[in-house]
Amino acid sequence: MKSLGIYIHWPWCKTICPYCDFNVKKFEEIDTDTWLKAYIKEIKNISLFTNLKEVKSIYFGGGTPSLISAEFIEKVINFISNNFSISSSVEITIEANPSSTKYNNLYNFKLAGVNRISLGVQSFNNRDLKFLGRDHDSYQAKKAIKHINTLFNKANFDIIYGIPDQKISTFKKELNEIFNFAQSLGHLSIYQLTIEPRTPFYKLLKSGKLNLPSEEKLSDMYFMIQEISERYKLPQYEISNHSTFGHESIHNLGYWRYNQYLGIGPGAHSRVSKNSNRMSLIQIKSPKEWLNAVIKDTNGIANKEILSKNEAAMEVLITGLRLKEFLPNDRFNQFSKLKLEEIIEKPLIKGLIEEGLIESKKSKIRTTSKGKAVLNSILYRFDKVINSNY
Amino acid sequence: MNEISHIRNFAIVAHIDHGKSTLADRMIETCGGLNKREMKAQVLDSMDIERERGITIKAQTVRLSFQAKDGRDYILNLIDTPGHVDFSYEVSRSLAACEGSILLVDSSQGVEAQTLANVYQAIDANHDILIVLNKIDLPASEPEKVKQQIEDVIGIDASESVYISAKTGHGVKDVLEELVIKLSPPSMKSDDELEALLVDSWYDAYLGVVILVRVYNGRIEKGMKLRMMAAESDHIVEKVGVFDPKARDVDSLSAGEIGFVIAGIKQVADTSVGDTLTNSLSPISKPLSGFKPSIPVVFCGLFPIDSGDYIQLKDSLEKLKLNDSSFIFEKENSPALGFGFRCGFLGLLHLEIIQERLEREFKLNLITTAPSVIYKAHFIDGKIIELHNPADWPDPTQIDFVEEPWIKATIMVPDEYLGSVLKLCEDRRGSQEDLSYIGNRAVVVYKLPLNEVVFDFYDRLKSISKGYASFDYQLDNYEKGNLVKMQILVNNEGIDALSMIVNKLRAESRGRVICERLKDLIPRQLFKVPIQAAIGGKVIARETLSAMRKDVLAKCYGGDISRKRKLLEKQKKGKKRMRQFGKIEIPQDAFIAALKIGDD
Repeated sequence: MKSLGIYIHWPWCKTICPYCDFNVKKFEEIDTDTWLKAYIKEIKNISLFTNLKEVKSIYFGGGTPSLISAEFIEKVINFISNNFSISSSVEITIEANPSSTKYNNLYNFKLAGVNRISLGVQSFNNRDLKFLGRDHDSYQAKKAIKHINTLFNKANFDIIYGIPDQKISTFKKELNEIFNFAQSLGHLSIYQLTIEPRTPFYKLLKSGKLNLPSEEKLSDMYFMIQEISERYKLPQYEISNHSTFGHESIHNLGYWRYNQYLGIGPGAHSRVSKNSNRMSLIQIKSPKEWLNAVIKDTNGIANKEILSKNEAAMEVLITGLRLKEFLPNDRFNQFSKLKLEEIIEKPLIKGLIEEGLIESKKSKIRTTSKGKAVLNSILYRFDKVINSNY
Repeated sequence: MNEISHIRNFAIVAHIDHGKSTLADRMIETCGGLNKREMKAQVLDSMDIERERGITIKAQTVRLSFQAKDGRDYILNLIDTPGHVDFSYEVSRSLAACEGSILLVDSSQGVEAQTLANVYQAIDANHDILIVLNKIDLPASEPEKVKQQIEDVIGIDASESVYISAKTGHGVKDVLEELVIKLSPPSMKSDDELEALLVDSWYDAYLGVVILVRVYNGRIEKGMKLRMMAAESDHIVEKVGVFDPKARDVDSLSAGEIGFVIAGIKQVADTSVGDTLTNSLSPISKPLSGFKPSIPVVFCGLFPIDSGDYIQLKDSLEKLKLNDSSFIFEKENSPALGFGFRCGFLGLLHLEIIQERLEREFKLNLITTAPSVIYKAHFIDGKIIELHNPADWPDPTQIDFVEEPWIKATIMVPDEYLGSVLKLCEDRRGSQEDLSYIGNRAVVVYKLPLNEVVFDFYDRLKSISKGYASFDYQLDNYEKGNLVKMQILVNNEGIDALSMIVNKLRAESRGRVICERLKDLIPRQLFKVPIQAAIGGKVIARETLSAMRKDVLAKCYGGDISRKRKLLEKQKKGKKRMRQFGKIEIPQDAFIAALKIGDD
């Protein structure tokens, strides 16, 4: 059975972090009822674009969706379950911030149907937390993890590394603490800090005030994470994601396996099948305009396009090569004229195999751990081969 | 018909910037050839580049009508010659068309290397020499000292030098007066068989090919059939004229006269400077002496930076070729630089001029590969082949020996820079032939291999002498050389655009410099990349580019894969000018920068 994931984007945050370039806005007083109505209406609108009926995962992301009331969440979940069939093993995740994660809130989310929490810890080092502009400290983070642990079977927390002035030696110590907690939850997302345009950090970088670790240091940190994660039995299953067996994120795996998903809320993306093609739907980015469009007009879609075969094929690689598991050639070949079997014979790609960055086995390929560290350059090569036929 | 005793044909011999074109302008003005409004500074230098660089590329001529103090009207024909060594053959042909020369020297600067080279050519052509000292109005002017210099160095009497300021016009009339007195009129034979010299030719958009001729005997007139002896072709004369300085038709050109002829010639390449013209119906038996076809001596590849400009480059080269038969080109394909042309030039300046005209007049962005010279490869089986492209270098096991061209260079330099200049010449495998002094300036004559000179010799010379050294050369002979083809390998693949012919003893240091430079220029790749210089299979220099270790884009969030895909596309656009070599990619910029010669 093909799986379908539903993503609900809640764009509001109490404070905006200086590295964040997601579609977020500073929280303001909003009319929750109107917003609920809009989400429900838009879920219905977007659901018309897929013929899949069984929902495998629901994900409330943001923003800070833990600012929403449990009642709101429950109504959305109920609406989805009334309009789709819900898999018995459905994974329902909500993102939460340590500063807005009280035991009672978590308990209420659980009652509403949520069965997985993703907590934005980012660091256990108060100096780094301050630098990252987070509104919590490590004590709050640890307390939140403790609550989550008692209430939920599946959970994750996020960590950011590669922070300016971060030292390898202190990072190593921190990693042990990080993996201790991760072991208790069964899942960890650990991302390298990237500086994105139009963020306050970007401005700092441009003015020379951001002393980012060197490429060598970042590479050392990355491989240190891999080494320690093996020791803690939380191996990498995706570039930045680690879990104990069976605790992988079903929802995120859906993206990486290029399954169909619906994205509802300002700026959210959907990918659905359209005949033998892939269709992309993008919601209106501005929260106010999105709300208006959904309530007053027909829907909140800003852009709807059928991806070209090559675009879809590239998306298969962009997502699939992030994973530890092999990417079956069929997933790629269904879109691409140039088959994966031929592509790996091209010098630009063959070189990657010779150098141990890519592994190929029968009718599937994957990146090695070394390859994942330079995935961007690897994808660039695939793109060149696919689109320029090198 | 003009009375031959009333004609004076002359050239002006001078170093760059000594005021040749300004003097020519003043003479035109004085003789009333143009009114004030028509006078544009430096009338004779008609091309933008000529005017900007203050050099003459094509020989130009102007007929001046001058009434001398003796009351008689004279015709003074001035041939403005190219001043640069690259065009020395053209200079010699222009001088051959005259009976006398003005030796023009900047009285604040003194004699320079180019002055020497050109004045000796004039003396060799049996010219009467009129010495004119210019810029007499400048505070730094030292005419007495310069006169002494001329007598010491050139060995001609300078006591009757004319002092002028071409800028203000002071003394210009005296120059014209002296020309009439000092210079011999042309002589003629007793018969009237046509005998004329083709001094220059160019393409005019309205008239077609125009040839500039000097008539020695007989006459050229409209309707007659003209024969070009070396080219072995006949043409009907459509038009005969003179420049005064505007083109003006005349009925005929007689012995002693200089003028232009239009004769339905299709392209400049059909004409050769130095050819003898005669009457097809009654041709002379022996051509004028001294003809030689002009041969390119410096070669390089020209490639468009944007490969889409290839056709435009081809069209532009063809257009330039219309007017410059001394420059040649053929198609070349380089894996590093794409499609382009292998071009041959008379010298480095000629190369620069063509390159600049392509960029300026035709709006092309070009890459120029390292200049090369013509080598003569003697094979074991006795065959001799001329080579000017390292790509054509034969298997060394089949070569008996290789010869390379040497030049004789004359360098004049203030004493304080002499040490550095001598060191530069020695470093470039030079052997000293002579060292003398003019005042506090040294005149050194060196024999140098041309391939060391085309590399970056002139730039180095200028920089070590703070611009004070002047330089002139002529091709001397071919000599056996210890020459090898050095290849540059990136990731074990040869980069054709960077391979070069070098002296074996110099190969290692040259190779090291290029490897180091490439290491800095090539962005890090997904794996270690060796950069090597090699002769045959033997590596003589090596650098290693370390591998890229971390390259990530931001995480995919909320299923937004489009953003990532677009980032990749953007990245690809930014890398449009990448050239693929097996499993690595090198930006074209890296090659271009590696080809920029200079600071080794």
